[in-house]
Amino acid sequence: MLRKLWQVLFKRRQRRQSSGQVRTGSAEKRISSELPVNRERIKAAFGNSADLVLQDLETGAQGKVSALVVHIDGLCDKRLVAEVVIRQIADTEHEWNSAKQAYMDLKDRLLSGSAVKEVDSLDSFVASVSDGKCGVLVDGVTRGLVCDTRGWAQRSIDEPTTEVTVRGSKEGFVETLRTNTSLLRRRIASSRLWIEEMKIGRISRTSVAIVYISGVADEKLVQEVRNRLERIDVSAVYESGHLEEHIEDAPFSPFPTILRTERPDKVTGALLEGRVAILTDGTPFALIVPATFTMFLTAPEDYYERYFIGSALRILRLASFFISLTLPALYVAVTTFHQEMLPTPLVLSVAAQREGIPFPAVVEAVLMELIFEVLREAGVRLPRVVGPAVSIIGGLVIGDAAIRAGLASPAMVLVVAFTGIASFATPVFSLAIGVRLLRFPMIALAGALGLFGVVAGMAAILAHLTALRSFGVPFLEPLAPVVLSDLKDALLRAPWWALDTRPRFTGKARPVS
Amino acid sequence: MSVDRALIISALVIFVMMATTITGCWSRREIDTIGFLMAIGVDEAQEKGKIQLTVHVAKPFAIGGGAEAKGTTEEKPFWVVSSTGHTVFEAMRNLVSQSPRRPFLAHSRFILIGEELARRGIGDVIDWFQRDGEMRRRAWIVVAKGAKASDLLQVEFELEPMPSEGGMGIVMATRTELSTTITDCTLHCFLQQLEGEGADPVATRAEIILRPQEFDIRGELRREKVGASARITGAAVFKDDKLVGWLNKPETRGFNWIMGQVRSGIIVIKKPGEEDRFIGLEILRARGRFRPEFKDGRVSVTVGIEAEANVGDVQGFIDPLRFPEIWDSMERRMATVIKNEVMAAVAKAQELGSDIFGFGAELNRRDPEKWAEIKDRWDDEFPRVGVHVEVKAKLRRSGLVIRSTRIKR
Repeated sequence: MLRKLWQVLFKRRQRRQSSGQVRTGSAEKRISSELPVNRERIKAAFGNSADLVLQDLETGAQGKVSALVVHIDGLCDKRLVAEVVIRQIADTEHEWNSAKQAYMDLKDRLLSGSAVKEVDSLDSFVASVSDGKCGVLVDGVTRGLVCDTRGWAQRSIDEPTTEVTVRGSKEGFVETLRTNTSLLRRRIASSRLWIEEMKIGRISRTSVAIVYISGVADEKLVQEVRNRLERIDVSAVYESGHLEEHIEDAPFSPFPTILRTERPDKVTGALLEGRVAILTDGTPFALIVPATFTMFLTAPEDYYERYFIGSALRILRLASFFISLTLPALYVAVTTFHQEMLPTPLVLSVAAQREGIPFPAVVEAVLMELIFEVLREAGVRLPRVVGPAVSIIGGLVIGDAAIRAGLASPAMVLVVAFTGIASFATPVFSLAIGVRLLRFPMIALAGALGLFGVVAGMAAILAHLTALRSFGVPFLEPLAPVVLSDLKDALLRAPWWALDTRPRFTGKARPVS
Repeated sequence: MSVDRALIISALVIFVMMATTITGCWSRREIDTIGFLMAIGVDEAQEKGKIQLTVHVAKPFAIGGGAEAKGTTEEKPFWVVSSTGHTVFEAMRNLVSQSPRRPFLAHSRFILIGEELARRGIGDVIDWFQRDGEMRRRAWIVVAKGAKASDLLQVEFELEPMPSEGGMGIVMATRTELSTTITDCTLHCFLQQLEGEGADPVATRAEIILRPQEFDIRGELRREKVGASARITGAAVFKDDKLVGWLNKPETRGFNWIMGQVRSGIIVIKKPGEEDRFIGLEILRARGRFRPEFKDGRVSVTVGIEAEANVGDVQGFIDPLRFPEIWDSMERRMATVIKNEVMAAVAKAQELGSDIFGFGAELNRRDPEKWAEIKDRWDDEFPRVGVHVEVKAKLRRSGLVIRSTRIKR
């Protein structure tokens, strides 16, 4: 319904369907046999950018053959370019009869230390150079060579900051796609780990990798991921969240249907279950599809600690999920509609606390929730030096002062604080933030209709969750529809030796091979 | 802009406007606008034919549940106020003219009934308590012996600032771990007994005890704030909806033995061999059941009681290991005490002509045809019912020691 409303209100601009490839112009530029012509064309293509490096070299015994080496400063490993490319070309004492022969020699022998490739058109030559490769053109040859000399400054592999674990691998993804795939390959040393790479973004040409285990992941699922990614037509991809919004099943839902993680071990586990991971260059966050509700309440430790500890922690997280969604609403409902539900001493104590507070409980709840949300938001982006100051103001001054000023009751501060803490027990931020937003309509419902409103809100949320799908898999699977064998790893975690089947959606239940 | 779009936008605007303006209060009531009634007392009003309602309202601000207690300690955390009306409901509504906060009944612990009104019959006042949606059927029915309910509502307990809580504390302790000398008597079971065929209701008895306002302990002048307190024990016996008499403590426990409601308590027996010394036994667990039967055109009831007890304290010297026969005689005496209590309860009930045990109702369940014959003359029949009591008493443990300390003479 919301979607229809949206469509009516904001008529979607008709997008031109395009394959997402660089538009292959009707007359693809060919490489000229004249080196100076090529040189000018390349310069023109880059608009004479400052970081473009063009080097003219003479090669062969008498320097008979001239060559052009092109790379972009900062994207290439300088030492590699010097040793593997420039020295090989410039220092050779080969006797070559023709430029063609020199070219073939360079390709097959001299430059072969750097994964050399041949390109036919100037366009793909330029594209390779902008990708960080080092291009070599030989005078009189209408083909070019590109050597893989990529190497740039990158962040070292670090502990993931958003998904900290007590026990387990401390490695996290980095911003470089190739490093990330290597992290996965190191964990799954099998030729069946397949990595398909594609470029998305007309201008940015961002590398995106679809990673799956052949024979485990359903081929139809992989095809669906491929299709959805190929349909994306944007000028640039900034982050995997950008892709996520383009390919998710329910863009209007407050619940995420794609799991994001910066932990290679989490991705490894998902791959082995038959899921597909999408890695994006330039971000440490990988996407995992299909994602189900229980995955969002799962932390890697569940699997590393012993199984009953893992199970207990999951139940705790589920409880805090419900607390963060409903506790303020329940408090408002009970104190303004159902005073008979509280034990007598408690109701008198709550009444005593609310004595003299000018707002109705629902306004008090919304007010305190807002203050909390602002504090949290400010805290996330706080420069380290002012951090303590804000937490003092926030925690002590506002909490205590609100009570002293008679704006809020201590019980409400407790409820809001506990709710806030409970929302941080959800391991995946994207789910937690959705729940935090839903809390406000729940409070409003509770303030208007009491417990009836809370129940109605919960029913609506449940109905919505049941209707959600993530890449064809029901979002609440294995809870609804019930999949008995998958319940082993849903709200509880069975011992490892009992986890011998893959999730149902892979279509390959047993054995795990 | 298409018509479609305009329609939806205007509908949205109207919806938002309605949502923000017509949200009435409905049944919403902020917790600080409610006066929590903790106990409700019903009496006959001085004005003929009217009912006087006295309620005990909690003052949360004087309890100080929050960070700081706002009220001074001298301020009483409750307010007693009364109003009159032709019916309880009217009196309750008349109360609103005196109370700035809307009376809220769900937390009422007690329904107190003055003796005068109870003797006249409470059938007319009890109706509202079961009809009103806020009232709980878990409230205890208490009859004020020799007093008006409004006087009973003035009492205070030293350890609990809120008299209703204090009363509840006494009720709960008395009915379970300490002595079982009151009966389980909530509005719910009172109504059941009232309606049930061949059964009459009982209620809890409370008396006002006056205490000196000030007294002196060893020269130290101490202010005793509590002027009047209450003793909650025993039971009020009703015949239909009219109070006809009282059960004292042993009689009440006798009643509880028959009903199988004894949970704990102390049985005092005379020490075998030394009749001026006593032994206190603590009841561990007890079972009680009764079976009415027709025998030769008469109704007789067999009451079976099994009780276990520990030895709590002994005056004088016993050594059950060397003289085991004392154990048996203690058990026999315990059985006798229980039997005496039961017989006392039966005798009192038969004297008052009120079948508080529900012998008739049990008869009805066992033999409905015979009951149909006897039903109409049950009131005459009940006082003549022969009751036979069988008690199995068992002593279990003797505390931390078996033998008493032998005191050198």
